[in-house]
Amino acid sequence: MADYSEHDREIRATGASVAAISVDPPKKSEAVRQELQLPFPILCDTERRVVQQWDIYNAREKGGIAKPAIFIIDRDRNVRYHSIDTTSARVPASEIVRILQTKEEALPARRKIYFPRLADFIRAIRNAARFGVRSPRA
Amino acid sequence: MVDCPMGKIAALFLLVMHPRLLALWRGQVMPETLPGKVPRNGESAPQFELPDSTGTLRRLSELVSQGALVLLFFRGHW
Repeated sequence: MADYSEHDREIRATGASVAAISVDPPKKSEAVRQELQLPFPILCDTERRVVQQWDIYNAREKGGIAKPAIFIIDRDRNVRYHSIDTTSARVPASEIVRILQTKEEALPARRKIYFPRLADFIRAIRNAARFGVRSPRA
Repeated sequence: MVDCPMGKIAALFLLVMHPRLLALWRGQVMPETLPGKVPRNGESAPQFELPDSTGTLRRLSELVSQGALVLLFFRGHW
């Protein structure tokens, strides 16, 4: 959060804006906003409706909280980029600024789904013939 | 009792799913089974309306009206 607060000007320079969401009630969020002097609003999803709809709800922790995640949403409300993070590794704000500055076609390609080719089947059959179908017992 | 592989699979399925099936039977919707899906890149983000920390209602369409929006989901205060 503090990282994004520091980069707020750079993000604004690209024409974008920032908003944060948590499941905390407004009172708590306002305290956080004052404490960290955040220049952007904190939205309060106290009913956990949005976090569930966006499937970034972590029901197992602290009575149900949001997973750390970042979305870049374009003016036409399309998602340009998203990242669902772990607590220890969030996408740095500088990376978000870089994405906002680059054109869409320059974005990294989506991860490919591995689809087995004929060669993979042949290798599997050959291995089965050589070593048997069962995995070796320890 | 169960000696065919399909029966084993069915039994395993029932074992894993029974809380949800029970909830379905009673007509309840369990919190984690609410329809939810991470909007992928290029997809339209679902609209929402939430109060901010000052109590003002904010709509997603309003937030993106000026330009792109960086939406940060965070765990909250602890």
